[in-house]
Amino acid sequence: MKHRLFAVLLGVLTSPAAMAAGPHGDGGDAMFGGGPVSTLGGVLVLLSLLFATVGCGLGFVAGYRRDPQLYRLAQSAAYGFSGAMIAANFLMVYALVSHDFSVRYVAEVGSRATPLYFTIVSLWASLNGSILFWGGILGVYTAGITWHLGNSHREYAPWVLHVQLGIAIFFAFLVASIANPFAPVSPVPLDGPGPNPLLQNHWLMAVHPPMLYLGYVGMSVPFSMICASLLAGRLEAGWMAPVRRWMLIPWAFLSVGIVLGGWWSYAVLGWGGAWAWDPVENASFHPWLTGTAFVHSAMVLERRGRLRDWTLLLGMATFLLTLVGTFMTRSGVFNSVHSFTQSDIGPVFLVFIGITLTYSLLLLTFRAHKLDEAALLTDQRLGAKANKGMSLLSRETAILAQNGLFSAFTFTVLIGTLWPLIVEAVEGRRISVGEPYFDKWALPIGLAIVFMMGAGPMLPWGRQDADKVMKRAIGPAVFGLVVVGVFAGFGFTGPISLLTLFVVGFTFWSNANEIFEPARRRMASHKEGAGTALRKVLLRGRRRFGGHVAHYGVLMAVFALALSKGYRIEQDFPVEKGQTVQFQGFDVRFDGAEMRSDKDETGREYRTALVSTFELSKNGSSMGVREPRMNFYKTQREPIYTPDVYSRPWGDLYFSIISVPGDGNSAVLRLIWQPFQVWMWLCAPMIALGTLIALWPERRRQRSAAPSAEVTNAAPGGAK
Amino acid sequence: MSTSSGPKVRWPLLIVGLVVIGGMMALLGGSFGRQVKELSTEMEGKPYRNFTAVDFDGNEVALDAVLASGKPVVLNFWSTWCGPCKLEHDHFQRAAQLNPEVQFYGVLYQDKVPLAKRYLQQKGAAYPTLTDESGAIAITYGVGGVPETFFIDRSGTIIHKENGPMHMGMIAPLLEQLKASTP
Amino acid sequence: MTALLLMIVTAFGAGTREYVPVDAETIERAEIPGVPPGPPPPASQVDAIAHDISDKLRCPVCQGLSVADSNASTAVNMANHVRALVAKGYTEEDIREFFITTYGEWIVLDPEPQGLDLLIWLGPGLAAGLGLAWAVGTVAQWRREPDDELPSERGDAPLDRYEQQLLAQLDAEIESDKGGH
Repeated sequence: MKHRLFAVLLGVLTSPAAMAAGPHGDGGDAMFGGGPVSTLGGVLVLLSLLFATVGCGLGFVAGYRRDPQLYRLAQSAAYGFSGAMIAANFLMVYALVSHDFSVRYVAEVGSRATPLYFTIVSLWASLNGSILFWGGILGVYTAGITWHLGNSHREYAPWVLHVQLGIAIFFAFLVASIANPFAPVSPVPLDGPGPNPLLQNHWLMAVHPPMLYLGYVGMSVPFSMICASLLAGRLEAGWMAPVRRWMLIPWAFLSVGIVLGGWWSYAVLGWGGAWAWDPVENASFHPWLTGTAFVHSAMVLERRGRLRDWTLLLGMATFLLTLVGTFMTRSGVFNSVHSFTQSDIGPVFLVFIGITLTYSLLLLTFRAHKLDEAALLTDQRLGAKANKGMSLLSRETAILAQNGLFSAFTFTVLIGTLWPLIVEAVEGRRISVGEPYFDKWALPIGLAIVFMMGAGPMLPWGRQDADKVMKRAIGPAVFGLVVVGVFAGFGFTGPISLLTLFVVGFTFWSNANEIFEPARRRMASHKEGAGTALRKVLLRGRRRFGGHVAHYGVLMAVFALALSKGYRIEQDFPVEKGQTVQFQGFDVRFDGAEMRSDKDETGREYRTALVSTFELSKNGSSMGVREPRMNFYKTQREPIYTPDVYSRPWGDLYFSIISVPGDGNSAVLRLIWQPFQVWMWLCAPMIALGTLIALWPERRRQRSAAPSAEVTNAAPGGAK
Repeated sequence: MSTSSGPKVRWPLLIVGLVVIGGMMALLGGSFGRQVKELSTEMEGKPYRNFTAVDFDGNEVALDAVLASGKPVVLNFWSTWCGPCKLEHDHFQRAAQLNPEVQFYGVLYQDKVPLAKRYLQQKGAAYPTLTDESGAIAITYGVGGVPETFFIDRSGTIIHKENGPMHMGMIAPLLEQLKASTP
Repeated sequence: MTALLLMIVTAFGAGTREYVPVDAETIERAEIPGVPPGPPPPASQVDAIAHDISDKLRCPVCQGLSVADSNASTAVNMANHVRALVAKGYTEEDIREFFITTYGEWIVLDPEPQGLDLLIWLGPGLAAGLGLAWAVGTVAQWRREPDDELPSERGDAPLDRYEQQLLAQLDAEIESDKGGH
């Protein structure tokens, strides 16, 4: 047995090693033979591959044989993989900062002229570095789940490690062979081109990708846990809880990452919009949609024991969609703002996707019946404890409807993104499917979903009388009308936005009810003051309260979207120096444009900028100076147009330069007024807060697998 | 909480799943190497569109009039900031000199006239270049980048549109076609 | 091949970005060959109509942005051209058709609902409808399943840890549900 393992390992190892030696004599692709950083990096990456492979195999055997010793070994291998990958990432950052151009990735994206901040960020600026970063985050999550599981959930844990490390094998393999960022370069160049200027333009580039990666990569954990369940042939309430939590953690990061991406698009790209239904944006949206659906259907699974297959399918689909999304971003098949150059990893990635998809399908198809048997047994022992009887006017229906709508939404966005490919394959035509199409469908489906977000909390589980429901609906409906009235009074009279505002108001009140109603009852029954009652209710029902807070985050985004898009006003102004133009009650005076030099912390200039200065005032009182600019980078002929935004809670005045001919005494300015835009960005901390509340462990319960420190530790950087 | 045991193998799921996976793999796999940027050849085979423009010497040019005089036309959209345009410049100059019965026009695309004039002074101009400040000519011809070249025969049909630089070997046969065409 | 790539690279929104006002002369010269313009709309509405049309046209040199949104030179020129055509009196269908015959189908961001594209036109609505039908149908099925399929006695084996947990959870929720739901 041990010999066989060894032989397999040898085989696995020699293949990338052979690739490492490289087909070219010049050592261009070789892993060894370069400088110390290259060599060490290569070793770390190979080590991570080794640990992943060994751990994967150990996990399988440990699960199959229920062998605790092998399980402990698998845990060590998991930590080994994590350690090696994380160390490799730190090593690469070191190489970037120390401008070690003998390392291939540094030669590709490093530059002495780039400020330190962006040098660190360039770890994920380009393809090979971003794959390494993917692996690093995978290492963090693998360590996290290994530690969290510890000695508990013994029936599942080895299987979790098996699947998790199986995924790790793939990424370690990618980094070790095709996408190797540590490969040595010779002769060593003196300087590099620097990362893509678009990535150096704004500090958000340091935050948006890591958040997205923490979301994307993290979906591997609930996936592994679901596969573990199918492999082990059991699924109990005690397992569903950690699966749910480990889905929520990356989900929160993904939500934040998506919103940050929107903010970046708005603040950096100069077109005044946050979401363009770009293929890569859509790729990040699919897993969010299925992940959200999962979180809700899991509630029905826990409560009623039903929708098991469906819930597991959603959970697995979330991870599978992140793989598809990563592929879409990197394969070069799609025309997108995020496109990396086409590379060899595309086909390999596609094979991996095919394998994982088939594996998941087979697991679900052939093992799901085992879960049914286990569940039936549990039912028999517990007796029918939950509510008997079902009404159509129940929370179950609302959640199912929500799931149905989310699935439709996912389907719409996915097929819409793939449609140009499909049509080209079938009919040879080239077409575009863009914003007008997606907006057209996102609106009704989105509205229906938001309505469900309000109707669901209002409905009870199981059975309810229709008139009781109607009574509970009065408050929200009235509040919705009030909101409509208020905004209509302020001039927002478009019918679609009024409908949206009604639904927003309805959902707002309904969710608020769910928070305050139990507190009120408690005040009556326990004779407590308002503050105490509220605190107790919130502390005891963290999951529910966190859910409501997250709902409010989504509401903010929908509110901002409806009003900023529906009432957006845009106008182009050719202006001369000293000239003032009027727009939406503001006075904007052009004060000329001049070239400025931007220097990094060592005093070296890394870009020049043509900055146009505008004095903003209203009714004679000055509101500051706005400076939209055109940033010129050495490596790019075309400048990047960076807007400047005057932001207030009730609206943004967006300054974007169209052109500045010649001498800087005239310019063409685009002004855009977008009401309530900032509320969209506030959605991110709200959702993060909601998730944090929902995940915060309860102190009193004897939980087998969640001491309080674990959750915060397992969520690196905290869900903020 | 009643749960009934499902079938041992979820057959519908398996079949649908395999079909979806297969379809997706085929679609994504077959899309490798697909050209991502849109390069239009829509105008090929269509009749030309008239415009009037001014060349660098101030003379007004109407495409209608040129074709009415019986000459086929080659329209070459170019800029000074476009490397491949500079690569093909000599070829077009030579082609124009060798084929006086074909009317060549350059059309300046999103560029500054003084820069273009200086470039032509250095590199030679065997045929006039037209200004297109508003970009209307480029839009009317579906130009999405430079260089793009249109070959219009005597009957006014655009027999070929080339996206990208051309060399003599590509230009010559097309010129033969143009010369052989009838109004 | 390299040349083609070079051309592609250099073609991305480069140039002087001169802003040309849409004056009377430009409007006069703007035309769709072979198509007569209709009556010109009132001057105050021209910008709004043109913006609407530009929103649905794809900028040929950008990565998926609409002509209205992009500030690339090509997009600005196209937006101006659209504005001139609108001011001249051309309808949205005329202008859309013009761009499709000039650039190709891919120039519009919203495919026409005909032929194969009819599928994505109808698809989302069908999917949403199906989703809701599935929701209602599933709950209806649950209502139909008789509860007395379960044995009325508990099994002999003691509840394991998870089952105890589940029991406690259910008890707590039934307790909290009692008040008013």
